[in-house]
Amino acid sequence: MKNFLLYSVLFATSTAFAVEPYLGYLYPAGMKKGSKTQVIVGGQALWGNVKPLLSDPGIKVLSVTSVPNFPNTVETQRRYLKKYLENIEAGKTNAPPLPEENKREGWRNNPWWEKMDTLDPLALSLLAKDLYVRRNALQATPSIQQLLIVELEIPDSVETGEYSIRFFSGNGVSNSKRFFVDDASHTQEPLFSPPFTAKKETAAVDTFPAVLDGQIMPGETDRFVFRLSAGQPYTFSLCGRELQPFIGDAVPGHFQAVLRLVDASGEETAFADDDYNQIDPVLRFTPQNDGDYTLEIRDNLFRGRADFVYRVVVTPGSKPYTPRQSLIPLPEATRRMTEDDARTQILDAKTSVDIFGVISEKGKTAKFQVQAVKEQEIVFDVFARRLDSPLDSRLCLRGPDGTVVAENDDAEVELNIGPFVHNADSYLRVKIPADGIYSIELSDRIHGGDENYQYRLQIRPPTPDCTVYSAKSTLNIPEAGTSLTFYVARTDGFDGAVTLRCDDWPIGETNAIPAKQNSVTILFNYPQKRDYMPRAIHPVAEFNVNGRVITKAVVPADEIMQAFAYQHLLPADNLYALGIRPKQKPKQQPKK
Amino acid sequence: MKNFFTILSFFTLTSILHAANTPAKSVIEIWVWGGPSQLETFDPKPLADKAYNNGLNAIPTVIPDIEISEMLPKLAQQADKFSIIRSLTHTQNGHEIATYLMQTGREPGGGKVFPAIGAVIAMFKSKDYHGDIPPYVILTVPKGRFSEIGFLSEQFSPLVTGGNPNATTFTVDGITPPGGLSPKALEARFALADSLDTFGSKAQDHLQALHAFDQAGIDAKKIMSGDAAKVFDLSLETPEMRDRYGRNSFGQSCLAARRLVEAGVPYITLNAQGWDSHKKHFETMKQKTAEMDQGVAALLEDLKNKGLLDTTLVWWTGEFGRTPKISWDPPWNGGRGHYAKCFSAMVAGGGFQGGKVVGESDETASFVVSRPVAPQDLLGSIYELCGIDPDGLLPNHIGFETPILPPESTAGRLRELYRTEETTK
Repeated sequence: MKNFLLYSVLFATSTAFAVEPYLGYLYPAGMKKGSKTQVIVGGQALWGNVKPLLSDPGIKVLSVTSVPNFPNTVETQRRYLKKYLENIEAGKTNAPPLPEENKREGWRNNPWWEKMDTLDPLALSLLAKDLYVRRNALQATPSIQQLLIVELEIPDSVETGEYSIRFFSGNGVSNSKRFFVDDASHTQEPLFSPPFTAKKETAAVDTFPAVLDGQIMPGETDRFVFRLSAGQPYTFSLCGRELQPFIGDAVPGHFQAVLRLVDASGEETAFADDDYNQIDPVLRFTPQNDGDYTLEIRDNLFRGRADFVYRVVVTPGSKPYTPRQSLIPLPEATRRMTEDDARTQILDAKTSVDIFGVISEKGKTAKFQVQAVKEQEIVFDVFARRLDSPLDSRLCLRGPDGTVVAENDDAEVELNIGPFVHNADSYLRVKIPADGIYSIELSDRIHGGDENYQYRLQIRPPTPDCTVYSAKSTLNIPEAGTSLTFYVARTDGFDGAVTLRCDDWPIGETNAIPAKQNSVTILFNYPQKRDYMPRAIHPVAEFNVNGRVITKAVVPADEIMQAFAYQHLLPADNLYALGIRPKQKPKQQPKK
Repeated sequence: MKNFFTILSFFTLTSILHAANTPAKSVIEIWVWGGPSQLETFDPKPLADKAYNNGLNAIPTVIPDIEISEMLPKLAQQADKFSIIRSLTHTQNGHEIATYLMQTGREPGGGKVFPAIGAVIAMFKSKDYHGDIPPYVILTVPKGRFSEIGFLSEQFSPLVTGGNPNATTFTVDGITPPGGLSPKALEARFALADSLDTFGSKAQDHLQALHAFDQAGIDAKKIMSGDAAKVFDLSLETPEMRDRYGRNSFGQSCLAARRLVEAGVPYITLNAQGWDSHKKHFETMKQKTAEMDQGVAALLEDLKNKGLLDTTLVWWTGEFGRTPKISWDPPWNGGRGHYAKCFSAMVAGGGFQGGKVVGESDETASFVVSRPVAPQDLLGSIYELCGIDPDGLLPNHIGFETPILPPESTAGRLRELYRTEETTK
């Protein structure tokens, strides 16, 4: 009975648990145009004949090498391997003589250990790191432990900018990661050095713009030296948290990098740990003296993981605050006007209007007048944080006599959409109590303000609407099919049913988010003819508003947890589907 | 060292409160630290989709119509001794606040830190308890999520044993002599300490407070060198008995808890660590439920056989349950998150009936369908069965007037589970 229970547990676990390819990080997360680079890919289930899926076919993949898992081994073998490594560093090519067989009890096999002298520097450094850095089981994160080394070449014809990379094999297609192509030269943190070698250091960077690449491991501080000129402003922009906006199994649930610049005497000259609400720091600095300055990069809490990957773009000049590009679809009004134009007229809300403005100084309140009649419903919707503005908006509607009719700080949202940790935008839906001219006031909740506190205030009649998001941007479909959850973000009181359709992939019969509900899980069937490449598919949502059928594309997204607790939907570039290669059935033995 | 002072504090207690003569003389709290999954323990859902139950089944118990997870086969044989609550619910999904809520019945805030139920019961029960061991013992590590005594005085601070009950010698902080010291060597060290305490010995003729302090020290020494330490000496049990509980730290903690009950200790907490199974949930459950199943089943059976179950209340739960839907995505790879909307508890003995189920969850154990049980309802029931009025004032040395618990919820305390003369027949 005991064994039966044990087997049933094991069977149940093994049958339900199908690990999908997962991409945890790319290091480096970018390279110079016209160069070749080895990129370390950390993830899981990147098995089989793994190939990259690049958003620009011009990027060339020269090789994909799977890094073997290094097994735990006995001390005698570790000593032997360390000796082998020392020999290679000393220029000797032959392996040391093996101890006698009776002294090799417990030795394990590993393909790299047996051909150490044929490995390239990156492979050798990964091997050395495993031999010399003590493993910490508490810090082990299986989802980023499997490694690939991918050699990429970026031809000059590829445009600078941002691309996405996924990987796929017969086991499925992975999530995507951001990858950058730059005009500037890259300087990478030195490879791991075994203790018997001199610590490698990077040369001082004196040509700008420049890009630095690194990976922060537990307790680590990376350092890069720069030769800077007096009176010349410089901007050091780190991209780390943005490479992986949320981490489920870490608190805080993201890499929280800090930048510190010290001069040649070791004095701190500048420090940055954020840029307004963006968690990635931007350090702006103008040196008083020519000389060498050292930029230090670390996690704010001295944490570290292999996926704490960063790139720092160093540019001459003081770069202004730059809002991130958003993949969140936001409604456009039928009319657009500037804050100045809007302030000089009495608006109506019969049709929608977008007012573009800035809370340009601390304590400023933007006020607009709106003509309204009793029982009229009006929506006031601020788009600021969703546009990556630092503005933490507050809305206040005053009646003709100046009394407060309604006010709001943060809109209530059921879904956290985008990379933001705080849904700070305000929203008011008001039924006007009496005819008259009302005043809508927009300010910053904590009385901040400058030229970056931009906003778009949309005034509109209630416009029931919705946007549907997928909970994953990959569909790896076994023969039995797989399910995918879709979430609906409802606007202005829309509570109707939403039907989902997918013309380019077969789906199950349950395909509607019922009225007043927020999600549905849909079965995606195995394709009649299996493709060998992932295919972008395009589900659409159909819903009815006041008798009018509206059709909208589903926004591909990945549902990600932050710090063990909060769920976020991060919009992605595409929703890819791939039928998983069927498991080969064991050949039948001929009957004797 | 802290425990030494805890013992001192206990012996200097002068204001001891009245405790009623009630069925529950002792309480064993089995705190499943991190949040146990309701689905793999007392609220299995064999008919739910695999995405929820991972194909695990329920098994029958000795009580018709009550099934529990197949991972608890030994407890299934003891189901006549315990009752299950399948409808615990609150709104806090963070360990710290949820622990505070489940231990005090209150949400944090208001500028006061309330005491955990263990400290409160220890305080009320102290009048009728004259053992050498402090009235509130924690096996083996403190929760660490908040101060268990809250605004009560240090007198009610728990004795935290430390050590490993499964080791050859269960070394209890403040009680077992350090480093295997012989009684003679221990006495020599006490003598040396006394000879250095020139201030205390000179002043004690003049200061009554120091006299009490000195007496407490003498009493504490008595524990270290007297019979009290034997309570923690599990080698005095037969090997067969130790095997029954399971040769692991949790199992032997259960055995130690039974010995503490025999010694009359009013409140014993077993903090069972390692249930926060965000990752590798099913691998973790396989190990944890096996230890839990064996240890708790042996404890209930042993208490019953020794005639102690009627006067010993046992309760089992954590700060919350776990998300019913399994997270197969990285980094979880088969894990369950925190989930407070609907989770389970087990209660036994000390005035609770066995063989009952209270409350019902939906088909995936995601929501409470009937008879919601709030944290203060569960705690209030334990207080009531210990003869403590949960609506009464909580005595304290700072003069703060407050009831022990906030008012019970609409559904109320678990009175349907209280033993009555009728159910005892």
